[in-house]
Formats: sequence, C-alpha cells, structure tokens
Amino acid sequence: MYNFKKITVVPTAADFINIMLSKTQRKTPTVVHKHYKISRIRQFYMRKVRFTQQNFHDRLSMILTEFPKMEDIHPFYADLLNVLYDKDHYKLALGQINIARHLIDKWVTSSRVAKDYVRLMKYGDSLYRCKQLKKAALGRMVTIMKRQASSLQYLEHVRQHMSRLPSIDPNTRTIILCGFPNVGKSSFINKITRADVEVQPYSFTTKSLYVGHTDYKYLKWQVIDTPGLLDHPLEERNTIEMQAITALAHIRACVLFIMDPSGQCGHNVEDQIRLFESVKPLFANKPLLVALNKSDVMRRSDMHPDDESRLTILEKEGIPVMEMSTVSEQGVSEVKTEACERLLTYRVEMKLKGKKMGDILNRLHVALPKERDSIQRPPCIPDAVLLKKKNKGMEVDEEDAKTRKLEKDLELELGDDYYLDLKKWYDLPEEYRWDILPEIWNGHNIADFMDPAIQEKFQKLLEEEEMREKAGFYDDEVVEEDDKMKFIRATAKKIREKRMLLSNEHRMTKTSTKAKMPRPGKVRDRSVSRLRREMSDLGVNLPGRKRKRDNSMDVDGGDGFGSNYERAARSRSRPPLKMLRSESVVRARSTSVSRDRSGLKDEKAITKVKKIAKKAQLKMNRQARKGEGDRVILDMKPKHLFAGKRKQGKTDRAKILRGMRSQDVHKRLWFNYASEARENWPESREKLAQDEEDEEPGASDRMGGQSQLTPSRKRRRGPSATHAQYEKIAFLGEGQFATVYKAKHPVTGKVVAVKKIKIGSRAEAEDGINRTALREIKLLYELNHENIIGLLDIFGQGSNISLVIDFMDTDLEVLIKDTGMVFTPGNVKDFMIQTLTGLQYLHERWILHRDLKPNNLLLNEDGLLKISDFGLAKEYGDSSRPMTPMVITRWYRPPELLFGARCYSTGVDMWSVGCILAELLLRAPFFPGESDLRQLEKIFSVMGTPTEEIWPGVTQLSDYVRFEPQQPHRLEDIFSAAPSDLIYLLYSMLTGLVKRLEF
Amino acid sequence: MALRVQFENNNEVGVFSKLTNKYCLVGFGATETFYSVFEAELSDIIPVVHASVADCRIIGRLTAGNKNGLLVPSTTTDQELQHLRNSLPDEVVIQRVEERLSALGNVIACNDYVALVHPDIDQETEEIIHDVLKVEVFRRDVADQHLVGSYSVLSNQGALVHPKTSSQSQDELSALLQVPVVAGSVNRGSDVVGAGMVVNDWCAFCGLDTTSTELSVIESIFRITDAGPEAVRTTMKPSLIDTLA
Repeated sequence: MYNFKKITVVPTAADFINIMLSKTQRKTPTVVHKHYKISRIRQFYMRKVRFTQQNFHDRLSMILTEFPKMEDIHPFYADLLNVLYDKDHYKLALGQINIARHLIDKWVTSSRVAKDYVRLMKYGDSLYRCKQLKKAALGRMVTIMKRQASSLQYLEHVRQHMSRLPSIDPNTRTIILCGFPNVGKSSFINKITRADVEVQPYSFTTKSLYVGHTDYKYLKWQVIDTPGLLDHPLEERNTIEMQAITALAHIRACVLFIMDPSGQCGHNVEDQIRLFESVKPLFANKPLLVALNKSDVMRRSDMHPDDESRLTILEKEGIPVMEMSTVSEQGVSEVKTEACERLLTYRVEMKLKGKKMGDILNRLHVALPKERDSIQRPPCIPDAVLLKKKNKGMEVDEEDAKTRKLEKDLELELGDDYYLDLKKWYDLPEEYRWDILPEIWNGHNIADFMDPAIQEKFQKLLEEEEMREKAGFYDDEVVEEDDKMKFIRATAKKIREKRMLLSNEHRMTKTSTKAKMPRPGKVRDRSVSRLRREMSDLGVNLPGRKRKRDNSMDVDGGDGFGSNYERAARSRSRPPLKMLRSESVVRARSTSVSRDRSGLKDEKAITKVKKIAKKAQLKMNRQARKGEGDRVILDMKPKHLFAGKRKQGKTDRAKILRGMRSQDVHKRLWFNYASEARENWPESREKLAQDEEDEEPGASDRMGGQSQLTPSRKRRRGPSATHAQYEKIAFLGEGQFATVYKAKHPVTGKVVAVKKIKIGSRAEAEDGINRTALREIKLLYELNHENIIGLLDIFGQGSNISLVIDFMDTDLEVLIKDTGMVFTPGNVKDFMIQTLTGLQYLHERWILHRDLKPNNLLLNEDGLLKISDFGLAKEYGDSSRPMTPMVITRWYRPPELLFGARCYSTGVDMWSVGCILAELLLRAPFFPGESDLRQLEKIFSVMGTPTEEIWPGVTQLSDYVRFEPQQPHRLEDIFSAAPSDLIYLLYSMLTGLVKRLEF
Repeated sequence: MALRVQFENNNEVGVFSKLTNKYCLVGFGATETFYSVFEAELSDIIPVVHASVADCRIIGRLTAGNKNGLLVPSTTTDQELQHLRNSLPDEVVIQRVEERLSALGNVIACNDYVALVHPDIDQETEEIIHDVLKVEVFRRDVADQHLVGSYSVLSNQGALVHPKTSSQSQDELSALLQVPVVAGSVNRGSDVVGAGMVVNDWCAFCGLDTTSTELSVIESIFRITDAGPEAVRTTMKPSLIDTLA
C-alpha cells in the first residue's frame, strides 16, 4: 500500500532559502576574529559553505525520494497521477529539483558551487576575503534555489492533492461502481458502506474516486465509487471521467454497471447501453453485473419493450441484470451479495490455478476423528451455560440484575481507593474467608506443616490425652523438691552470678586500653597462709601444718648470693663452687646512668662534653637552626595565603599559621613575665638598661625576655647563656614534660628550682609549647598564695622554656613512705589545713587542680606545704560544660570519674584530699587499685556499692559497670587510732562528696 | 461465544490466562480490564481467579490443567498455591510438578480426556499428568514443534493446531485426540495458537488482532457457534482460499 500522506511539506523557494540559511546560522560557529590564524578563519568559512551545501543536498534528496516514482508504483496509481497532475510536468519538476541538487553539489563539472568555493577559500588570505567567498558561495546556492520556485510550488500542490487521495489497495477484493452521472452510484455505496459520499441531484457531484469498505463472508470488501461517465470518445474525456476510466482499466475488480431505466438522470436506456458498449473493453476478464437502479420509480416490467429487449441481449451475453432501489433499499443487498459472490468465485478460480494453492491445502482440511476405542468423550458444558444459551433470545431482566459487579467497574468507581480483594471469592465459609494466615511463623514455613487431616489428628490426640489422664498416667509425677535440692539450686544460682561478674570484670580489664601501672609496693597477695586462712574461713581445713623453712634453704640463704630471696621449692641447684669476684657487676645493676652521662668519668667530664656540644651547636643557633636537618621555611606568612580569597584545598598550611599564633602567645607571655620580673627585682634595672643599649634595634622584642632577666650578664651571648646564670646545684628529677634542677640565683643567692620544659620533637614543637606547660605557666602566673607553689621567674633558652619556682625540700609522699617518721595527729591536721587552705584559694578562683596526690604536695624545712604541678589544672565555671574524666592519678580518683562522668567540679579535688588524709593516717595508699575496675572495687569494698537508690543516675554514666553489692564499712573501724574529728573530716570528704552527688 | 481481548496491549491472551471447563485463571494486570472480560463472561458459571506463578503473570504458559486438576511448576510459592487451593473448587486437584521443562503450559496440551506432551518430558511427570488430570498421555510433536502446548489448543470438541501442520499429521492427531482437528492461526497469522487464545467447551477468547476469518474457523472447530467443524471445508472454503492464497 502506498501512503502518500507521509510526504513532507515542500516549502516555497523563499521559505526554503530562509530555512537553509538560518540553519547555517544556528548550527555553525558564529564568532571569528581577524587576528585568528588564517587557517582557522578559512576553516570557519569553509565549514559554513560545506554545511549549507549539505543541508541543501539533504533537503532536496528528501523531496526526490519521498515523491513516488511513476515507474515504481502500481500502474493504477501511475495512471491516476498522470491523469491528475500530468506525468510530464511531474517528472520535469522532480528533474529540475534533481538538477538543482547537482548544481549545489560538487559533482556536476559545469558549475560545482560548493566544491569550487571551498577550493577558492584555500586562497583566501584574510578574513574579509574568506567572508566574501562564503557570501558568494551561499549566494550562488540561493540563486539556484530561487530558480526552482515554480517547481517547488507545483510539487507542493501535488503533495497536498495526493495526501487527500483515497487509499485504494489495487490488489484486494474490489467492487467498482460505474455508469452515467446521476444514476445512483453514490447512493448505492452509501447504502452498503459507511463511505458517506455526497449525493446531490445534479450531475458530477462525485468528482474523484471514493472508497468504502463492506463485509461479506468474514471478508473485507473495497467498494470504489467513480465519477459518472459520458458517452464520448476517450480523447474527449475530462480529468474527472479519466479517473473512473483509470480505475476500471487497472483494478481487477467486480464491475457494477448501474443504469437508470427511468431516465431521471437525463439519459435514456439506449444511451446508457451505448455507453456500456463503448466502455465494455475495460470490463474484459472481470466479473460484471448490471444493476437497474430506481426500481421504485420504474420497474423492469414497466420498461419500454425496446429497452427491455436491449437488456435481454445483455443477459444473453451472460451478464446478470438485477433490479434495486437505493431509496427503498429493495434489492440492494442482493446486488451486493451477487457482486461479491461473483468476484469471490472469480478470485478463487484464479487462485486455484496459482502456485500458492499447494501450501494452504492443509488449512482447508478438517481431520475428523476415527474411533479408536469405545470410550465416550462428551463435552463438559455446565447446565448453566446451556440455560443461558436458551434464554439468550428472551430478554430476562432479572438475570441482568443478578450479575455481579465487575472488578473493572469497581475499579472505575473507587478510583485510588480501589484494591483487589483476592479473598472475596474464596471457596471458603464466610467466617474465615478473610482470615490472615502468616507465611512464616516462629521461623517455620506454615505451608510445610499444612496437613489436610490436621483437625482429625488433633482430635485424636486430644482423646488420647484425655484417656491418659483418666488412666492416671500423670498422677505420680508430682515431686516435691526437698530442702537440699533447693539449697543446691540457690547455690548454683549464686555461682552462676558470680561467674558472670568475674568474666565481666575480666573482660573489662582485658579490653582496657589504659597503660598498665606498675605497683611499687605491691603486697604479695597469694600465699600459703592466705590460702589456709581463706579456706578455713570457708570451713575447709587444709591438712598439714605450716612448714618451717628447712635447713637446706638456710644453707642457700647463707651462700652470699641474694640470700634474702626465698627460692621456690623447685629442683635445688648446686651452690657455685667459686665466689664471683666482679664488683662492677653489682654496681652496673644497682645504678642506671642516663644516656648523656654514660661513659663519662666524672662531673667535670660531663660539663666539658656539654660545653663542646653547645659550641658545636653555636653556628646553627646563629642561623636560628636546630641542626643541619632544620630547613625551616622562613616565609611564614606567604602573601598568597593572607591576601584575598583562598580556594578549597589551600588550607594545608593552616597548621603553620596555628603554630605561629601560639608562638605569638608565648612571646606576649614572656614579655609579661619579664616586665613582672623587672618590678620584682629592682636591683637588676641598671643592668637591664645597659643590656638594652647593647642590643641592635629591632631585635629587642624577640630577645627581650632573655636579656632582661639576666642581670649579671656582661654581654649578649647565645640563647643558652641565660640558663647558666642560675647556678645549677643538683638534678632533682624528671617528669613527663619537664626536667627539674635545683639552682641558686647568683645575685641573691636564693635557692630555687628550675623547671625546664621539654620542647619535644619537631612535630610537637610545630604547634608551639606543650599545652600542659602552657596551662601551668598561665595558672601559676595568676596565683599568689602561701600554700601554692610560686612562680619566680621564667626564661627562654633556644626553643625551650624554663620556669623558676620555689625550691622545696621534699614532698609528702617521701614523708609518708619514711616509716621512721611518726605523724602526730597535730602533724596530720597541719598538713590538712595547709592543703585545704591552698585548695580553698584555688577553688575560690575557679580553678580545679585535678591532680592532687602526696607527690604533688611539696614541703620545705619549715614545714610549709605548697601545692604544685598544675599540669592538669583547669578553670571551671559552668558545671554543664563537659570536661574529660581522664584526670587525677587513679588512686586518688573519685568513683564518678572512674564511671566516666564528664560534668564535675570541686568535689573531685575533695575526694583526692580525703584519700591523702586516709593515706596520712594509714601510711599507705587507701585505695591502691591496679586497674580502673579494681580501683572501683577497692572503693566500693570500703564505701559500699552504690545503687540507683542511693546514687540516682549512676547506671546512666557512660562507663558504668555493675558490681557485686557490698555493705559499707565504718571508717572508725578502719582508722581505729585516729581521733574522731579526723574521722569526721574524712567522712565529710569521702562521703560528703557522696552526699553531694546523692551517692 | 468467541471474544477478542487484549492484555495490556498484548494479543497473546493464552499467555496471561488459563481456561478450563471448571475454572479460569487470569494473570494480575495493572488494571482489571482484562480480568473483567473473563469475569463478565464466566463468573456466574465457573470461578475466575487472579493468579500468579512464581510472581509471574504468564500463568497460561506455566500451568496446565483441565476440569480434573491443575499442574503448576515447582517454582510456585506456597502462598500462591494456597491462594489457588482456596479459590478453586474442591474437586479440582492442584499438584506441584518437579519438571525440568517448567513452562508446563508450553509442553502440555490437554483437554479433559487426552493430553499431548513434549517428547522430552519426565516419565514421572507423565505419570502425574495421567493421575492428576486423568487423561491419556501421548508424546507427540505438532508440525515438527516440540512445544505442543504453544502450537496447539484443545477442547473436548475440537483442536486447533499450528498452521503448517500437514493434513496427514492432522489425521493422526485427530485419531489420538478423538476430536476434529484443523490447522489454523490466530492474531492475524500468528502460529503460536496456544499462546494466542484460550478455549473451553463453550467459549473462546483470542487476541484482538484475530481476523474474522480466523475467528470463524475457531468458532466452528470448537463448536462455539452452531456451525460444526465441517464448515471449514464447505462454506468457509472460498473465503479461506481468498485470504490465504
């Protein structure tokens, strides 16, 4: 089938040109500058020319391919097109378009627009020339298209007309109606199809071919209504008539020649017969039928005998003549049936002769069954169907009313609320039709346990059970548990609980990431005597008595080797035959030498080596470098990081800036301390002034702290020089962040302690001075109290900072450990008063010490106690501000911190003081826990295990662990020798805290 | 009455539905249009049931059944099986079949008395077919196609087979099935007649594309109208020749 409706619109020449040029403008680059490289300019214009040419080519090709070729289409259409549009004109127009395409293209030698101009473009030596060439090329193309204006216009007309042609299938079953105008052809087609052809009382109402379709014998039939024919030679026929002729000539169809015996059409029967005869050659080899229309006006019997005889002649030729009336519809369907039958018979005859017949013979075959046995196989049609069939003829309204509402209607009615209820039509009783059956129940697939006989089985089981009960099967099974069993059960439960607690605790200890603290004074906790005691407490008497150390051991003990150690009762080794003489071995073991002193003979050598090392460092110091590896970037404030905006990913140097900022803080601090020191030490002022004169201008800011603090200095030396001003007397000790020396001020002769803050590795130093040290400096600087360690001075040395603090002879820990000393209650009270006074001073200034322990309470000869070590101290205020719970040495740490409380205040220090007081009384640590969990256990063994009732919220603490409940001990029982007021103080500090927390 | 229906713009109605003399299964669709065609026609006579097999809507190709029973593939879930059990009448036996050729609808063509099965089907499955569907089972090809369920459609009154089935094998099939057999197509020339239509002893449903010639062949061979199977080679012969040749 041809579809002429699909042909694209052919624009007029002007539109065509506009389309093409605007497309070029839209789809090629538009910006070019004369300073571009010439090759680029050439390429820019070449592209425009080529692009335009390609578009012209594509569009014209489309026209050429879409319009049908006369030679390729069915002769009926070819002829029809010839009749309607004139074949020559049509071909010429397409030919013109083809030539235009060639002209624009590059292949025709005479005028290859695109190719020529593209070639010329290669010689364009400026933007202007290239542009002119492009303009010329496009102009040529436009001119060529302008010449095609008439062709394009004609083709558009043809296209529009073609799209309105009826789609006639030349090969299908077709009935063609023909005859004089006004004989009733269109009325007939309107009767048998739904073509709806216009019918008017004048001739040539139908000016072209019309198509309708009708059904007959399950087949579709095409009916073509042709315009009326007049009886004149072929050459004189007009276009309208020629369409009918074309259809008759080319379509193999049943021809229905319609005549009007009444003559109402304006032509008598004779004329009509003559027409029939003249077009008869077109009817050759086609089923033919003559229909006498308007039988309502004139029946055949009423016709003039002459006319009648003419029809009889036709009938004799084998052409059936039938009567019909399109007005009364009499005979219309008979005519249609006859026409269809004749055509079908004709077509079947033709096809039977064809080759295809063999392929379809099986389709025409109905295999009827041969009986193979005597089994009856009747169809299974329910009675309801038969009844329905029977009732089909009768209109039964009741049944219609009964039919159920269709799901489709429900869906339409309910819209979004509709849901498909699958259970609605279940073949189940109404009461459990909608029961929900779970797919999986208790991890079992219900379907696996589905049993059709389950009800019966269940019933049977019930009966069996009933029978058993009756028979007394279950009667003797009731057993009373005796007391022994109950006791065993209770004990077993206890054991299980204890085991759980132990494993819990063990897990906690194991998973703890905290460092394991060594226990210096660890008491041996496993011994035979202890075992014996504990077992006897439990009521088990171990056989045998405590064994005396036997004589052989005594011999071992007296051999001169570690005689104090009691050997384990393993295999006894033979005593060495000779005495080992080396004394140095003992020495080597007894003293460990720090690495900077190892290999040096005496103090003198050490000093010398240090001096040499310092001298070696001098050059580096001058260059302000740490060593050879110090390639510090001096440009610490690169312009690009401080000016303008920074994009993402440029902040990697922020660290450096941070470091710088903290350095600035140090600088300021130093300065402040220095000025303070100046005021405090008036005797050094003159010297200072002199020093300042010595300094180069500009350097004073950085070096100020050092120089101003060194009154005895003659002239400026290296940075380390200052330290030397304090005469070092002795090494006192080393902490995590600092080394402490005892020193003497050369001028005043005052003995002080110099705490040299370790600067640490380069990485740490980058962030500035250690935070702990910084905190300590900051706090000490603000504090001034008799019982707080005083900061006397501060100076820098290289990148190190040294703090000068009060020298104290000893600390409380030493005193406690010195068992030779006896503390009277007065001593204890004195220590307590001083500690608490100092602590009060701190707490009044909103400072928490957070590391109180005997070691940090320093004492001098006069018995003055000073609180020191402010490394963990912190200002506090708002109790809701969370702080870290990882403070205070464990033995002195309160339980809330051990449980991970983050909001705490002065209470934590009070607990520590309480612990110290207890330690003073006991002369041993009160709660010496080896781990956090053991610590808690120790606390709770004395103070009782807290529960949610006495300490609400304890279980909510982040590190809360459940402990075995224990009853509190009376402190009076533990500190039996202590006066009651100290016990009261102890209570107030340990349980007072507890009370405060509602422990 | 033979009806033309479409399942969501698809003409292969035999894929999405299964029709027997005792029940009708219909696949789940996005809307109820397809279901309601069956519902309107059949629901007052036999249950018309929404069904799925292994979450698939192509139940017509996955299941095989007649008035005595219904065979479903092993992939059917327990829930689906339960749904079918609840919906179908008690006299219909439902059986899950462990068969390698799990598209049972494609490999089994049956009416209430005989069944044609794929030649490669399991011996065990054959026995199950015999016991559950209560049919005689024949291993046979239709027009050299093993998928007998796809290429043929049976009722107790007639059979429509692949359009290329030779007259001789039609005769053989007819002797086996004991019903008149005709070669024909549905859905404007589709040769997968089993997929293109469903039929029972009193009605048929085919795809919307089925031409009137095809429909009339179907109606006559399955005795849905009063014209018997003979009509194919008598009254309808010219129309058939004209359309086919």
